[in-house]
Amino acid sequence: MKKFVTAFLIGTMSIASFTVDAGAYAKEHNVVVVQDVGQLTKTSSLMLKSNEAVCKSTCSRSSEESTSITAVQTLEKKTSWYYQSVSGATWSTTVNTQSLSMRNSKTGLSSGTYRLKTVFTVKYKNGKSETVTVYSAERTVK
Amino acid sequence: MLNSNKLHTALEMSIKDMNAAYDENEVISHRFSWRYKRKKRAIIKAYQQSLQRPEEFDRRYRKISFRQKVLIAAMAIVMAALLTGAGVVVTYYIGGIRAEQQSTHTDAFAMDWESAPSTLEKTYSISYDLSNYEKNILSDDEYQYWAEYTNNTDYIDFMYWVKEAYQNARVNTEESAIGSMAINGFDALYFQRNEKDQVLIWDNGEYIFELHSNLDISIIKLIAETIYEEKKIVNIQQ
Repeated sequence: MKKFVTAFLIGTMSIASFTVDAGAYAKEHNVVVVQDVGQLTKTSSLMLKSNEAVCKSTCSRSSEESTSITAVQTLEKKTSWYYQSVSGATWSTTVNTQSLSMRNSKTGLSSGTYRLKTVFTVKYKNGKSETVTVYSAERTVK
Repeated sequence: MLNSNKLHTALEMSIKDMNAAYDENEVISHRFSWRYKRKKRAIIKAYQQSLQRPEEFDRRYRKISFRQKVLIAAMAIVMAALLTGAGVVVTYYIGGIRAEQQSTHTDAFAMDWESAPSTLEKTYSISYDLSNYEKNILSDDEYQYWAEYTNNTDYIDFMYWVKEAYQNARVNTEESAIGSMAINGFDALYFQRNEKDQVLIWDNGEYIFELHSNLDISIIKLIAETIYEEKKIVNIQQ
């Protein structure tokens, strides 16, 4: 048993160091990883007014110049096991500026719990890019 | 549970029966795999050693105890966590903001949003002289006001939100330390990114304010402290 524990610890430390090196490699070679490269803040907000869902998404600039920002909003409804996209509640916009602000709404919602998923894709002048998904807090229609 | 003596007896009886089934002169053409031969040699060697040290044989080949199973399960969980890159989350409470910092970013939440105004009922402006900046309004609705000031490569982003809209905001604090700073009597979350971009986020009790810029922090702090509420002018008809 002692030999097994020793072998496990050595193996775990070896694999953990390899994982760290893989992250450094990805950063150096412009591989898209799920970490924020440039833009300072990204938000995905869902507000409810009666049975209307107001969906706001923003992506603010930084000193790292972007060439384009694409945001795809999807309103999702919670089922027993997963979130399902609401029909007719997917919107997409692309801007060639440093920041993005986007607002859409959906009416006639049935009762249930909803959230807004926003996928941001930002491309930079230095060739880097990032794709980040942000979820809003859940809101309930009664 | 079968002890080693009974196992030995059972094996001996089986081998005798097997030998009786075969003709002594019959040549067996079956080729056993290298793995089979290796395992057979290992078992025979272990058995021969057990004749001198029966306790060791029992210890080596007995079932895994419950304690050992728990230890193995714990190790497997630790290994899975390390391999999947599960990291530590550090939570900060600065003013009315809860910030959960991870290795790649921070998730920020305005606390106590349910008792705050659900729409923007007040208007705020900056009195600091920004006349040499070009102003662009990116958002001006009942939930958020966002004005961007630019002058060549310099920029200042001024925004304020209803608290309900400021939930799970993804803030790019990767490799940055989160600190706090006093702005107009409120505790503001502060971080600097890449030695260029400065970010201040604070709660004035009703709304969440953000100020981003690549100017020096001393100037940004000055700008932040000139933010004021515009008074509404009501015309009274006589």
